[in-house]
Amino acid sequence: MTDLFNTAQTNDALRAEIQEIAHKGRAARLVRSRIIIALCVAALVVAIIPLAALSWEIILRGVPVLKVAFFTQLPQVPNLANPNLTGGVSNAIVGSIALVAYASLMAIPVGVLTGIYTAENENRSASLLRLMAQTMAGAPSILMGLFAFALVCQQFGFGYSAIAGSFALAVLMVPVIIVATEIAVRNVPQTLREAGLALGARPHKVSLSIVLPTALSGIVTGCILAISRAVGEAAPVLFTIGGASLLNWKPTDPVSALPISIFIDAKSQWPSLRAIVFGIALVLLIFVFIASFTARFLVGRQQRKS
Amino acid sequence: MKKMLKSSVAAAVALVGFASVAAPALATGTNVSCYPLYPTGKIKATSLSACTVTAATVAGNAALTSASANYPSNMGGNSSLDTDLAIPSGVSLTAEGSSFIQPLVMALQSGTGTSYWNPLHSVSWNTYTGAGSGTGRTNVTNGTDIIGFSDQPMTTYNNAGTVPTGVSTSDYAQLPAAFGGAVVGYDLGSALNNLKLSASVIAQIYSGSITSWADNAIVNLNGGNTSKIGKKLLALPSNVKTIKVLERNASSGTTFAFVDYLNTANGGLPTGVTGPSGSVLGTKGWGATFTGEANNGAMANALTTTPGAIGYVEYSYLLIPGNSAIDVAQLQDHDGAYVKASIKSIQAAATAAGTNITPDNFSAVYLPGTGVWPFATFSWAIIKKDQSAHASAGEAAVKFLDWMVHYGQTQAAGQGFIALPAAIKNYDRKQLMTVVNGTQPLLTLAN
Amino acid sequence: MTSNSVQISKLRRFVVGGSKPSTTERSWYSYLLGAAWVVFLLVSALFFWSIISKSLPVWEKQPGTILTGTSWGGPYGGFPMILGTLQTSILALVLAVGVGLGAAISIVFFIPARLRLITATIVELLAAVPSIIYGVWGLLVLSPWMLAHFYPFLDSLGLTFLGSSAMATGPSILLASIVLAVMILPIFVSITREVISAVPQDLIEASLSLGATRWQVISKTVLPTARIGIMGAAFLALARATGETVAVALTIGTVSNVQWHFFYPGTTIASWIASAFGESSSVDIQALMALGVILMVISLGVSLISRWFIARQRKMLAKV
Repeated sequence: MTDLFNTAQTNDALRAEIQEIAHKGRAARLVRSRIIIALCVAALVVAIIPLAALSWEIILRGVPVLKVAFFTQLPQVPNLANPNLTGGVSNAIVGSIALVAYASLMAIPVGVLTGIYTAENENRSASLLRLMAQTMAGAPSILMGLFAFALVCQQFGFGYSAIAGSFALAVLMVPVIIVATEIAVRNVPQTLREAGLALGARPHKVSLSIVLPTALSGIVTGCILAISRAVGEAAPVLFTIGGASLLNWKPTDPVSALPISIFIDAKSQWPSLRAIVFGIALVLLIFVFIASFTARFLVGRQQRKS
Repeated sequence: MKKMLKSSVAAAVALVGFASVAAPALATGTNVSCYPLYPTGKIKATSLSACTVTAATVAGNAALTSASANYPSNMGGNSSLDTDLAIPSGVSLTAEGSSFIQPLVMALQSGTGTSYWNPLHSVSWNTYTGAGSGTGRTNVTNGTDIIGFSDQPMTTYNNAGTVPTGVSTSDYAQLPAAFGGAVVGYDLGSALNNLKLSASVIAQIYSGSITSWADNAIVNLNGGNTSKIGKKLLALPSNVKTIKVLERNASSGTTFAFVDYLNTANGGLPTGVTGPSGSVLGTKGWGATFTGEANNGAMANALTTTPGAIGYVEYSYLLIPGNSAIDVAQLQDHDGAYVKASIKSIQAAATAAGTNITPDNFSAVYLPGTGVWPFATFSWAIIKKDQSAHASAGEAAVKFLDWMVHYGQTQAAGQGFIALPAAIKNYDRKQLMTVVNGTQPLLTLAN
Repeated sequence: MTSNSVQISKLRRFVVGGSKPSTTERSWYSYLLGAAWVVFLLVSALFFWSIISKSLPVWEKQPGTILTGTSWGGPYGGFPMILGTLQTSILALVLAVGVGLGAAISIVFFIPARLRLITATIVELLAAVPSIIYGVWGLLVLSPWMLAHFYPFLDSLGLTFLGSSAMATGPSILLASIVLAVMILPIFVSITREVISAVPQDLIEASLSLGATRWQVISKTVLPTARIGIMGAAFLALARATGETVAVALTIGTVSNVQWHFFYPGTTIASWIASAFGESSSVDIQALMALGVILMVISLGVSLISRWFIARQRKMLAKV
């Protein structure tokens, strides 16, 4: 057996020796390798099948539902005389817009500013904030519903209202915005910041005039993703908004929401109401996909610029 | 000889069983319950003689329900000048409770044309989820909802157990808002529709004593081993033959009416048969393998998709397209004849129930008469008498209820319910007129 | 600080003509930032405190029963919900890791570069889909299919411990677990993909030069190196699965008893809170809050474990 540590051996002999060892049983190993590779690719196909199946069903069953009446009419209840009387979901659309608007008003300022703080500071409070943001980002969304119920509905006495639901959604959105903002601000090259400081600008002016505009697309991306998540979440608003059969939107009024309409109608007795669910799901899907693509586009454009 | 011995032993056992259960109940006198569902415990089988409504109570109720009052014509109707349709705008109303009355309530909350109460869409309703009669009572008494719908009124009479803790029933107006029937449904395919099931057999199924559709008790009720139906039952595949029992929770009004029916029709429940425990979707007391359903709608869904299942569901759910596949059992009326579930037999039950319906006399199960459907109940609307905290919502609520029990009853037949008779309508209106804002009644006779 | 920035700050001081800014020169800017992060910390603290404090009566009266009791009435027993949460999450994780590991490896190594972006995008789009849509798809599309085909198929394999397909009604622990697996798959795949691609290229080339087949390279070099990070990804996916509410509420059937047969309905903490809230009195709500505390502990614990793994992975790769 060639002494591998005997440096007197020539390189060629060494290489030949190793290759001979390596080639033993190579055929069998190749076959096994190819089989497992095939399994892995099969796994990838299996991973994509649910998205394909889901999108297909939702498009197939949802498109027939999307008539003008669907968007403009208030919900009706089918009865034995009119089993197909379903009305539309205008109350849920208005309610969802109101909820997300109030939630963004609360979440975006807090989230962006906190994200800037954690990106620009390395002290103990910044680490605590980072920890809190990551913890809250992973927290189950139903707990935010419980929190909003206890605090806004009961403690503050608002009862079932849009403000309670938006509060829950804001608590959901802030950590996402913080994390995205921090990443975006940190990605601004240090040289830009130093150049600003070198020109005599105060630190906060540097942040506002130089760093923020550069990080803006990353921040906007984070906000878009947070909004798209908030629109689709049902658990935080399930027992905080109460439901409304009219176009309620005021903060103190009970409102309706698209995910809640889905949740209720999916369990309905009436096949016509169950069919509506796919229309609502399609609307939500389209919204979420547009938000995702916009986010990707913004990030891609940012990367191409820098 | 052997037969006589067997039957006398059986009779002795039955007597002993009955006595051992009834005796303690009778011994405790005032603890006798005729509405056997306690919120926390098992059912007590009782001697029904202790449960009859006394003549004095009946006489007292009659004064409330007489049809002699003079009500104006533009009240409770559907013309555009009707006072019940003159509602404050921008009001949000909240109603929750029984899934038994849910089809009627939701049909009346909205609709097409002018035949519904909210023609100008000025009142916003919350989402009525049919969370159950118990929730309706809890929510209306703790202020979460303005109107609560419950298949049983809040009353302590005969230990009905329907009063939430700390609540004084005199603070609330309670009025029967609809009359409907419920059925014992099952899923064995259309060939085995209209099976005859006696109350005793059903009680045994719900206690877990009978576990197979091919059990002798069921087969013998339906013609025996050699009859067409009997042969079909015996020929069921083994997985379908096993009875899957579906139940609702103990605070459900439909459960209350169901157990009331079983108890009344059996003269007390057979030994060893218990009722559901008091928990939400609880299964202790009734067999641990029962599947709980959240409300009538979920029960109807389950009865269409689970071969071999049995459950109890309100009649109008059967009329919804997609639920027509649910098989409905024939039940015995008071005379022992088997009756099919239909609007006609439920109407007979409504007639037999009479008009002296008050919180102390509300049971409508197993009433005397031929062709009377034995499993029926009123469904009640409950509203707090003092609406000063939200007067305009209170006004809208009483007007909705007044409209519901008058013009709304014309929609009842279309939804599978029975319209209330005039005397009960008058009783309801009298109750609604006790709802006030401070000292000002919210529902007054229009001039 | 780099030598550049030291020079620049020296220059700046020279230009501006002063020493470093006095502490009294706190600008409105830092006050604004301070206000924002204090609000965030306050609300986060309130979040934990309000749920815990609302549930205190339950912890005082029946701390043991809430964890071990099996019925919900009277003393509130949360064991069925805790058990169900573990059942669905772990089964979902097993399914997701089984498929996701292969999928991630494929994306990094076997998919031609042109397709890589598309497949990665598709997997990430899956992550953006709202969970309620998975729930209704599971209830209205997958459930009838499983009832008609999948349960009988599993029965024919003799897996009777799962229950009998004849007694199945559709919504079940198995259905909920499959829907959950589909939901957590994208998270697992995207993190695993990152972790695997972070394995240094020279390690891979060294293995290849020794004559290893592609699979040997992956199994002997890449996976062991990335193993800790993959664990982190798995625990993160598990944390997500434990907290999922509406998708499970629609597909699990929600009964309150202990369920060991996966063909039959069960319950989880999150779906139970969602289902039972509407019918709960104020005392019931305290018990639901207590369940919420238990869920908080489980979910936080699992994500902490995941973060520990991922941090260790990063440290390890920094050293290589």
